[in-house]
Amino acid sequence: MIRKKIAHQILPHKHEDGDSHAAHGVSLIALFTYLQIFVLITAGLYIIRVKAPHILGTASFGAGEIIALTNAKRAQNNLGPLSSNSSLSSAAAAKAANMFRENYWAHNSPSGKTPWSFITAAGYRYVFAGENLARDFSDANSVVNAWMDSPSHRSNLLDNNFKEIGVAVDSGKLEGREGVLVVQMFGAGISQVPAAQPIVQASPAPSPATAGQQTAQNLPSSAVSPSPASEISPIPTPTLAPIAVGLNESNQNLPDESTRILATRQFAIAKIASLSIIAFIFLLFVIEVIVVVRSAHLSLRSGIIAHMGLLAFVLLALWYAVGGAII
Amino acid sequence: MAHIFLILGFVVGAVAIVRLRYDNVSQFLVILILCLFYLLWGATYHHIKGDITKKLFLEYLLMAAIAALAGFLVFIR
Repeated sequence: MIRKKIAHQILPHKHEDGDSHAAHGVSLIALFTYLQIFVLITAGLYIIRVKAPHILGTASFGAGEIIALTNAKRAQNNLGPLSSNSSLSSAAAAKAANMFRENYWAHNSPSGKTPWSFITAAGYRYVFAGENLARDFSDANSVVNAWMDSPSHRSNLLDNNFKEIGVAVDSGKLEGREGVLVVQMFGAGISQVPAAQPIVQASPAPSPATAGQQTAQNLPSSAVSPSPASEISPIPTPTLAPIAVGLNESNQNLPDESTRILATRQFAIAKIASLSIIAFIFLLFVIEVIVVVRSAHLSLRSGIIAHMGLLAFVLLALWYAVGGAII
Repeated sequence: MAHIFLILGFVVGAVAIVRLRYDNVSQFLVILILCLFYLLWGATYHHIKGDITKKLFLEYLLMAAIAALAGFLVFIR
Protein backbone atom coordinates (compact mmCIF):
# COMPACT_ATOMS: atom_id res chain seq x y z
CA MET A 1 0.00 0.00 0.00
CA ILE A 2 2.76 2.41 1.02
CA ARG A 3 4.81 1.25 -1.94
CA LYS A 4 1.87 1.98 -4.23
CA LYS A 5 1.45 5.46 -2.76
CA ILE A 6 5.14 6.23 -3.26
CA ALA A 7 4.94 4.90 -6.82
CA HIS A 8 1.97 7.18 -7.49
CA GLN A 9 4.07 10.15 -6.31
CA ILE A 10 6.69 9.58 -8.98
CA LEU A 11 5.00 7.53 -11.73
CA PRO A 12 2.05 8.29 -13.98
CA HIS A 13 -0.71 5.78 -13.37
CA LYS A 14 -4.32 4.79 -13.97
CA HIS A 15 -6.84 4.91 -11.17
CA GLU A 16 -9.42 2.19 -10.67
CA ASP A 17 -12.02 4.36 -12.39
CA GLY A 18 -9.84 4.21 -15.53
CA ASP A 19 -8.67 7.82 -15.40
CA SER A 20 -5.02 8.46 -16.30
CA HIS A 21 -3.11 10.49 -13.74
CA ALA A 22 0.24 12.15 -13.83
CA ALA A 23 2.63 11.48 -10.98
CA HIS A 24 1.34 13.23 -7.89
CA GLY A 25 4.78 14.83 -7.59
CA VAL A 26 3.93 17.05 -10.57
CA SER A 27 0.29 17.69 -9.75
CA LEU A 28 -0.94 21.25 -9.27
CA ILE A 29 -0.80 20.84 -5.49
CA ALA A 30 2.77 19.57 -5.67
CA LEU A 31 3.83 22.42 -7.97
CA PHE A 32 2.26 24.89 -5.57
CA THR A 33 4.17 23.23 -2.72
CA TYR A 34 7.47 23.62 -4.61
CA LEU A 35 6.65 27.29 -5.13
CA GLN A 36 6.01 27.70 -1.41
CA ILE A 37 9.32 25.99 -0.63
CA PHE A 38 11.10 28.50 -2.88
CA VAL A 39 9.33 31.39 -1.15
CA LEU A 40 10.33 30.02 2.26
CA ILE A 41 13.98 29.52 1.26
CA THR A 42 14.17 33.00 -0.30
CA ALA A 43 12.60 34.67 2.72
CA GLY A 44 14.58 32.55 5.17
CA LEU A 45 17.92 33.33 3.56
CA TYR A 46 17.05 37.02 3.38
CA ILE A 47 16.08 37.19 7.05
CA ILE A 48 19.20 35.30 8.14
CA ARG A 49 21.36 37.52 5.95
CA VAL A 50 19.91 40.65 7.55
CA LYS A 51 19.65 39.46 11.16
CA ALA A 52 22.57 37.08 11.60
CA PRO A 53 24.70 36.93 8.45
CA HIS A 54 27.57 35.14 10.22
CA ILE A 55 25.36 32.00 10.28
CA LEU A 56 25.74 31.90 6.50
CA GLY A 57 29.52 31.87 6.78
CA THR A 58 32.28 34.43 6.93
CA ALA A 59 35.46 34.90 4.98
CA SER A 60 38.01 37.59 4.45
CA PHE A 61 40.41 38.59 1.76
CA GLY A 62 42.41 41.66 1.01
CA ALA A 63 44.09 43.67 -1.69
CA GLY A 64 47.37 41.81 -1.16
CA GLU A 65 45.78 38.53 -2.26
CA ILE A 66 44.29 40.11 -5.38
CA ILE A 67 47.68 41.59 -6.31
CA ALA A 68 49.50 38.31 -5.65
CA LEU A 69 47.00 36.35 -7.75
CA THR A 70 47.15 38.94 -10.53
CA ASN A 71 50.92 38.65 -10.60
CA ALA A 72 50.65 34.86 -10.59
CA LYS A 73 48.43 35.02 -13.69
CA ARG A 74 50.91 37.36 -15.33
CA ALA A 75 53.76 35.01 -14.49
CA GLN A 76 51.83 32.13 -16.07
CA ASN A 77 51.71 34.24 -19.23
CA ASN A 78 55.40 35.12 -19.12
CA LEU A 79 54.79 38.70 -18.05
CA GLY A 80 56.59 40.64 -15.38
CA PRO A 81 54.94 41.32 -12.03
CA LEU A 82 53.17 44.58 -11.24
CA SER A 83 54.48 46.64 -8.36
CA SER A 84 52.05 47.73 -5.71
CA ASN A 85 51.68 51.50 -5.78
CA SER A 86 50.21 53.36 -2.83
CA SER A 87 48.84 56.18 -5.00
CA LEU A 88 46.95 53.69 -7.16
CA SER A 89 45.76 51.94 -3.99
CA SER A 90 44.51 55.28 -2.66
CA ALA A 91 42.77 55.94 -5.97
CA ALA A 92 41.13 52.49 -5.82
CA ALA A 93 40.02 53.07 -2.22
CA ALA A 94 38.63 56.49 -3.13
CA LYS A 95 36.76 54.95 -6.07
CA ALA A 96 35.27 52.21 -3.87
CA ALA A 97 34.19 54.78 -1.25
CA ASN A 98 32.67 56.93 -3.98
CA MET A 99 30.76 53.96 -5.40
CA PHE A 100 29.22 53.26 -2.00
CA ARG A 101 28.51 56.93 -1.35
CA GLU A 102 26.95 57.67 -4.75
CA ASN A 103 25.46 54.17 -4.94
CA TYR A 104 26.49 53.08 -8.44
CA TRP A 105 27.93 49.99 -10.08
CA ALA A 106 29.80 51.38 -13.06
CA HIS A 107 33.16 52.68 -14.17
CA ASN A 108 31.89 56.25 -14.35
CA SER A 109 29.97 57.82 -11.48
CA PRO A 110 26.51 59.37 -11.96
CA SER A 111 28.13 62.74 -11.30
CA GLY A 112 30.53 62.12 -14.19
CA LYS A 113 33.68 61.07 -12.37
CA THR A 114 35.85 58.75 -14.45
CA PRO A 115 38.34 56.24 -13.05
CA TRP A 116 41.09 58.56 -14.27
CA SER A 117 39.88 61.40 -12.09
CA PHE A 118 40.51 59.24 -8.99
CA ILE A 119 43.96 58.27 -10.25
CA THR A 120 44.88 61.86 -10.99
CA ALA A 121 43.46 63.06 -7.67
CA ALA A 122 45.66 60.53 -5.88
CA GLY A 123 48.67 62.22 -7.47
CA TYR A 124 49.57 59.46 -9.90
CA ARG A 125 50.97 60.70 -13.22
CA TYR A 126 50.53 58.03 -15.81
CA VAL A 127 50.97 57.06 -19.39
CA PHE A 128 48.67 54.07 -19.28
CA ALA A 129 45.93 53.27 -16.84
CA GLY A 130 43.11 50.76 -16.52
CA GLU A 131 40.43 49.66 -14.09
CA ASN A 132 38.68 46.38 -13.27
CA LEU A 133 35.71 46.13 -10.91
CA ALA A 134 34.17 43.16 -9.11
CA ARG A 135 31.50 42.75 -6.48
CA ASP A 136 29.96 40.12 -4.21
CA PHE A 137 32.65 37.47 -4.54
CA SER A 138 33.66 35.77 -1.32
CA ASP A 139 37.27 34.93 -2.15
CA ALA A 140 40.14 36.49 -4.06
CA ASN A 141 40.57 33.50 -6.36
CA SER A 142 37.02 33.79 -7.69
CA VAL A 143 37.52 37.49 -8.38
CA VAL A 144 40.71 37.02 -10.39
CA ASN A 145 39.34 33.96 -12.19
CA ALA A 146 36.23 35.92 -13.17
CA TRP A 147 38.39 38.69 -14.63
CA MET A 148 40.49 36.12 -16.47
CA ASP A 149 37.30 34.66 -17.97
CA SER A 150 36.35 38.00 -19.47
CA PRO A 151 38.45 39.00 -22.51
CA SER A 152 38.53 42.74 -21.77
CA HIS A 153 39.33 42.33 -18.06
CA ARG A 154 41.87 39.67 -18.90
CA SER A 155 43.61 42.02 -21.31
CA ASN A 156 43.95 44.54 -18.46
CA LEU A 157 45.47 41.90 -16.21
CA LEU A 158 47.86 40.76 -18.89
CA ASP A 159 48.69 44.14 -20.41
CA ASN A 160 52.42 44.55 -20.73
CA ASN A 161 52.07 48.33 -20.72
CA PHE A 162 51.00 48.33 -17.09
CA LYS A 163 53.79 48.37 -14.54
CA GLU A 164 51.97 49.14 -11.29
CA ILE A 165 48.82 48.17 -9.52
CA GLY A 166 46.61 49.40 -6.70
CA VAL A 167 43.71 47.43 -5.27
CA ALA A 168 40.98 48.23 -2.75
CA VAL A 169 38.66 45.66 -1.19
CA ASP A 170 35.81 47.27 0.69
CA SER A 171 32.43 46.21 2.02
CA GLY A 172 29.25 48.22 2.28
CA LYS A 173 25.79 48.72 0.89
CA LEU A 174 25.56 49.08 -2.87
CA GLU A 175 22.28 49.29 -4.76
CA GLY A 176 20.38 48.19 -1.68
CA ARG A 177 22.54 45.18 -0.91
CA GLU A 178 25.37 44.61 1.52
CA GLY A 179 28.34 43.27 -0.33
CA VAL A 180 32.01 43.44 -1.05
CA LEU A 181 33.53 45.57 -3.76
CA VAL A 182 36.93 45.10 -5.38
CA VAL A 183 38.51 47.96 -7.32
CA GLN A 184 41.67 47.15 -9.23
CA MET A 185 43.60 49.97 -10.87
CA PHE A 186 46.53 49.56 -13.19
CA GLY A 187 49.01 52.14 -14.32
CA ALA A 188 52.33 52.92 -15.85
CA GLY A 189 53.92 56.01 -14.37
CA ILE A 190 55.50 58.41 -16.78
CA SER A 191 59.03 57.61 -15.67
CA GLN A 192 58.46 53.91 -16.30
CA VAL A 193 57.82 54.10 -20.01
CA PRO A 194 60.82 53.41 -22.23
CA ALA A 195 62.10 56.34 -24.22
CA ALA A 196 61.06 54.64 -27.46
CA GLN A 197 57.44 54.88 -26.39
CA PRO A 198 55.81 57.63 -28.47
CA ILE A 199 54.70 59.81 -25.62
CA VAL A 200 55.43 63.11 -27.25
CA GLN A 201 54.84 62.26 -30.89
CA ALA A 202 51.37 60.92 -30.35
CA SER A 203 50.19 63.87 -28.41
CA PRO A 204 49.39 67.41 -29.23
CA ALA A 205 50.71 70.04 -26.90
CA PRO A 206 49.52 69.31 -23.40
CA SER A 207 46.93 71.59 -22.01
CA PRO A 208 45.58 71.68 -18.49
CA ALA A 209 42.01 71.34 -19.70
CA THR A 210 42.53 68.09 -21.56
CA ALA A 211 45.38 66.40 -19.85
CA GLY A 212 43.25 64.73 -17.25
CA GLN A 213 40.95 62.92 -19.61
CA GLN A 214 43.17 61.93 -22.48
CA THR A 215 45.72 60.01 -20.62
CA ALA A 216 44.37 56.52 -20.64
CA GLN A 217 41.74 54.03 -21.57
CA ASN A 218 40.21 51.34 -19.51
CA LEU A 219 39.14 48.13 -21.09
CA PRO A 220 35.98 47.30 -19.18
CA SER A 221 33.08 49.52 -20.00
CA SER A 222 30.62 51.36 -17.85
CA ALA A 223 27.49 49.76 -16.46
CA VAL A 224 25.45 50.84 -19.43
CA SER A 225 26.52 47.76 -21.27
CA PRO A 226 26.94 44.30 -19.77
CA SER A 227 29.63 43.60 -22.32
CA PRO A 228 32.84 45.19 -21.21
CA ALA A 229 34.09 45.49 -24.74
CA SER A 230 31.68 48.04 -26.10
CA GLU A 231 32.89 51.39 -24.87
CA ILE A 232 36.53 50.89 -24.89
CA SER A 233 39.58 51.15 -26.86
CA PRO A 234 41.67 48.02 -26.67
CA ILE A 235 44.75 50.11 -27.20
CA PRO A 236 46.02 52.09 -24.25
CA THR A 237 46.64 55.61 -25.39
CA PRO A 238 49.75 57.68 -24.85
CA THR A 239 49.36 60.50 -22.44
CA LEU A 240 48.94 64.15 -23.07
CA ALA A 241 49.86 64.98 -19.55
CA PRO A 242 53.07 66.85 -18.96
CA ILE A 243 55.88 64.48 -18.35
CA ALA A 244 56.37 64.34 -14.66
CA VAL A 245 57.61 61.95 -12.10
CA GLY A 246 55.93 58.58 -12.04
CA LEU A 247 55.11 57.78 -8.48
CA ASN A 248 56.78 54.45 -8.61
CA GLU A 249 56.94 52.72 -5.32
CA SER A 250 58.42 49.52 -4.22
CA ASN A 251 56.76 46.17 -4.33
CA GLN A 252 57.46 45.63 -0.68
CA ASN A 253 54.41 47.35 0.76
CA LEU A 254 51.69 44.99 -0.39
CA PRO A 255 48.46 45.93 1.31
CA ASP A 256 47.56 43.11 3.68
CA GLU A 257 44.45 44.43 5.37
CA SER A 258 41.61 42.00 4.84
CA THR A 259 37.95 42.83 4.44
CA ARG A 260 35.53 40.61 6.29
CA ILE A 261 32.77 39.21 4.14
CA LEU A 262 29.58 37.88 5.67
CA ALA A 263 27.00 35.39 4.40
CA THR A 264 29.51 33.79 2.08
CA ARG A 265 27.56 30.55 1.83
CA GLN A 266 24.28 32.18 0.89
CA PHE A 267 24.90 31.84 -2.84
CA ALA A 268 25.99 28.21 -2.55
CA ILE A 269 22.95 27.33 -0.41
CA ALA A 270 20.58 29.11 -2.81
CA LYS A 271 22.19 27.46 -5.83
CA ILE A 272 22.16 23.93 -4.39
CA ALA A 273 18.57 24.25 -3.10
CA SER A 274 17.30 25.63 -6.42
CA LEU A 275 19.17 23.09 -8.52
CA SER A 276 17.90 20.23 -6.35
CA ILE A 277 14.24 21.23 -6.52
CA ILE A 278 14.27 22.05 -10.23
CA ALA A 279 16.21 18.87 -11.05
CA PHE A 280 13.72 16.83 -9.00
CA ILE A 281 10.73 18.23 -10.90
CA PHE A 282 12.56 17.74 -14.21
CA LEU A 283 13.31 14.15 -13.28
CA LEU A 284 9.64 13.48 -12.52
CA PHE A 285 8.73 14.76 -15.98
CA VAL A 286 11.43 12.60 -17.58
CA ILE A 287 10.10 9.54 -15.74
CA GLU A 288 6.59 10.43 -16.90
CA VAL A 289 7.71 10.60 -20.53
CA ILE A 290 9.60 7.28 -20.28
CA VAL A 291 6.68 5.49 -18.60
CA VAL A 292 4.12 6.87 -21.06
CA VAL A 293 6.26 5.99 -24.08
CA ARG A 294 6.64 2.41 -22.80
CA SER A 295 3.01 2.04 -21.82
CA ALA A 296 0.22 1.37 -24.28
CA HIS A 297 -2.62 2.58 -22.07
CA LEU A 298 -1.19 5.95 -20.98
CA SER A 299 -0.98 9.10 -23.06
CA LEU A 300 1.43 12.01 -22.86
CA ARG A 301 -0.07 15.04 -21.13
CA SER A 302 -0.39 18.32 -22.90
CA GLY A 303 2.39 20.77 -22.18
CA ILE A 304 4.89 18.33 -20.76
CA ILE A 305 7.51 19.03 -23.47
CA ALA A 306 7.18 22.77 -22.84
CA HIS A 307 7.59 22.24 -19.08
CA MET A 308 10.69 20.13 -19.63
CA GLY A 309 12.14 22.75 -21.97
CA LEU A 310 11.65 25.48 -19.38
CA LEU A 311 13.15 23.37 -16.60
CA ALA A 312 16.14 22.36 -18.74
CA PHE A 313 16.80 26.02 -19.53
CA VAL A 314 16.56 27.02 -15.86
CA LEU A 315 18.81 24.14 -14.84
CA LEU A 316 21.46 25.33 -17.27
CA ALA A 317 21.15 28.93 -16.05
CA LEU A 318 21.41 27.92 -12.37
CA TRP A 319 24.30 25.56 -12.98
CA TYR A 320 26.15 28.32 -14.86
CA ALA A 321 25.49 30.97 -12.18
CA VAL A 322 28.37 32.58 -10.33
CA GLY A 323 28.29 34.37 -6.99
CA GLY A 324 29.62 37.73 -8.09
CA ALA A 325 29.64 40.27 -10.87
CA ILE A 326 32.34 42.10 -12.79
CA ILE A 327 32.43 45.11 -15.08
CA MET B 1 6.67 23.34 -35.53
CA ALA B 2 5.26 25.21 -32.53
CA HIS B 3 7.53 23.26 -30.21
CA ILE B 4 10.55 24.07 -32.37
CA PHE B 5 9.73 27.77 -31.94
CA LEU B 6 9.60 27.29 -28.16
CA ILE B 7 12.84 25.31 -28.06
CA LEU B 8 14.49 27.96 -30.24
CA GLY B 9 13.47 30.55 -27.66
CA PHE B 10 15.11 28.51 -24.90
CA VAL B 11 18.26 28.07 -26.98
CA VAL B 12 18.50 31.84 -27.53
CA GLY B 13 17.95 32.30 -23.78
CA ALA B 14 20.68 29.78 -22.97
CA VAL B 15 23.13 31.60 -25.25
CA ALA B 16 22.23 34.89 -23.54
CA ILE B 17 22.80 33.33 -20.11
CA VAL B 18 26.25 32.11 -21.16
CA ARG B 19 27.19 35.45 -22.72
CA LEU B 20 25.96 37.43 -19.71
CA ARG B 21 27.97 35.49 -17.16
CA TYR B 22 29.09 37.75 -14.28
CA ASP B 23 26.10 40.02 -14.83
CA ASN B 24 23.57 38.51 -12.46
CA VAL B 25 20.80 41.05 -12.94
CA SER B 26 20.82 40.64 -16.72
CA GLN B 27 20.85 36.85 -16.36
CA PHE B 28 17.80 37.05 -14.10
CA LEU B 29 16.06 39.30 -16.63
CA VAL B 30 16.72 36.69 -19.33
CA ILE B 31 15.06 34.04 -17.14
CA LEU B 32 12.12 36.35 -16.49
CA ILE B 33 11.67 37.08 -20.20
CA LEU B 34 11.86 33.37 -21.03
CA CYS B 35 9.24 32.58 -18.37
CA LEU B 36 6.88 35.13 -19.90
CA PHE B 37 7.63 33.76 -23.38
CA TYR B 38 6.87 30.23 -22.15
CA LEU B 39 3.61 31.37 -20.57
CA LEU B 40 2.53 33.22 -23.68
CA TRP B 41 3.55 30.33 -25.90
CA GLY B 42 1.60 27.87 -23.73
CA ALA B 43 -1.55 29.98 -23.73
CA THR B 44 -1.40 30.55 -27.51
CA TYR B 45 -0.48 26.98 -28.41
CA HIS B 46 -3.20 25.35 -26.32
CA HIS B 47 -5.76 27.96 -27.37
CA ILE B 48 -5.10 27.16 -31.03
CA LYS B 49 -5.10 23.45 -30.25
CA GLY B 50 -8.40 23.90 -28.44
CA ASP B 51 -7.42 22.07 -25.27
CA ILE B 52 -6.73 24.97 -22.96
CA THR B 53 -8.29 24.71 -19.53
CA LYS B 54 -7.94 26.73 -16.35
CA LYS B 55 -6.07 23.83 -14.80
CA LEU B 56 -3.61 23.64 -17.67
CA PHE B 57 -3.02 27.39 -17.62
CA LEU B 58 -2.48 27.26 -13.86
CA GLU B 59 0.09 24.51 -14.43
CA TYR B 60 1.97 26.77 -16.85
CA LEU B 61 1.66 29.67 -14.41
CA LEU B 62 3.06 27.64 -11.50
CA MET B 63 5.93 26.31 -13.62
CA ALA B 64 6.81 29.84 -14.74
CA ALA B 65 6.59 31.12 -11.16
CA ILE B 66 8.85 28.32 -9.90
CA ALA B 67 11.42 29.04 -12.62
CA ALA B 68 11.34 32.79 -11.99
CA LEU B 69 11.65 32.37 -8.22
CA ALA B 70 14.54 29.94 -8.61
CA GLY B 71 16.25 32.55 -10.80
CA PHE B 72 15.53 35.27 -8.25
CA LEU B 73 16.87 33.16 -5.39
CA VAL B 74 20.17 32.47 -7.15
CA PHE B 75 20.80 35.64 -9.16
CA ILE B 76 19.28 38.38 -7.03
CA ARG B 77 18.92 36.91 -3.50
